[in-house]
Amino acid sequence: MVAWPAEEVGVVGCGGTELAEGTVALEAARLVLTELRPGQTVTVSLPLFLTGGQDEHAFAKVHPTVAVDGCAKRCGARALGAYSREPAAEVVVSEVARRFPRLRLLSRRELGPEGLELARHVAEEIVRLVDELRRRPSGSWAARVHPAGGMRSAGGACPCSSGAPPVASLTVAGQRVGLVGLEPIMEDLGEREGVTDEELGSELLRRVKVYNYVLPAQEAAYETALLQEFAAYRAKAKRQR
Amino acid sequence: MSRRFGKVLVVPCSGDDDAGGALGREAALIVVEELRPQGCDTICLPRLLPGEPEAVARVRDLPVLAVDGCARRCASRVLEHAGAQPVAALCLADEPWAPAGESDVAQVVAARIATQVDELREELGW
Repeated sequence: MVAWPAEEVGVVGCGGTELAEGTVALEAARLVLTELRPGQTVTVSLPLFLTGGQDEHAFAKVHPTVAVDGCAKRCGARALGAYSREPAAEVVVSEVARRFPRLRLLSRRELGPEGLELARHVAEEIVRLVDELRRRPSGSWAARVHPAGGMRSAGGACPCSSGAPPVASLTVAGQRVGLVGLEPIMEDLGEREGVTDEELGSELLRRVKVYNYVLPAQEAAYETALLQEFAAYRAKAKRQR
Repeated sequence: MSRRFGKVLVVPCSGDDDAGGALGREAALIVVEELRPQGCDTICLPRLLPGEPEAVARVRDLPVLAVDGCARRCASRVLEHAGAQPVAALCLADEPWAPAGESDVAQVVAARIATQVDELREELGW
């Protein structure tokens, strides 16, 4: 189960079993998740995309993901594109391995010391992409990061094909706007106690901007509207208890 | 069952958000690489997600043993979605896999998979 929202980047290892590179993909993803960028990355289980994991579908629609594929078939990236949204960045183990020809993989089950070293190189590549995605201005992560640098549009899956991203409407300065991820953001912040309205408004705006573009001139109006909406959300939640 | 002579495909989910996924993957690879290299093979489950024709044809043509790490049974369901009919499935959520005194659980699971592979091959007359 994916816990969202926060500004995590999803890391999806293909985990293919035909090639040792699939094992490298999983090991590299594990290194990133547990050692190199814990708290900033989450794993997204690839088989769940096909089997109706709505959390996974929604997560990948509103969060950037890095697909880590073992080989040039790019099954992980293709599955993400087919069932949720194209990944914001990709790493292909076999391509990274070409830069380190001396590193031999022992087997699919046991990578051996050289295989583990390759996994660390792949993990470093993933980290570079994760950091770049997290540095992006809000709302711009959908532009893809290429391993060699540069960007292009990631496009996106048709919402009718696999469930629309969670969009909620909000009235900002008299205008109705749609915001991606608003409800989960409120759910996540709903339990926080002991914060001032100023801190809360700032945090709400900061999180909303991760998934939505907000004109700088309208930030104050958004913050006011978000605080009002949040107060209504809390009151409703209290009544339902 | 009339299938041409071949290998049993052992297909783990390899789910990485559950310990069962890693265990199933490890056990499946022990069987494929060490215990029954002549009698079985595996196929990358992710190849079936975008519906790669060659992979889809393979799982439809050969007997498949799905190894699922948890009750969501993703491997079985992905295989069924691809048109395969797994002739057997092992779900690691169904029973405890760490018998008292047993330190290598993956070997225990692998032995169970190998037994199922043997039974399938015998049933098919292979």
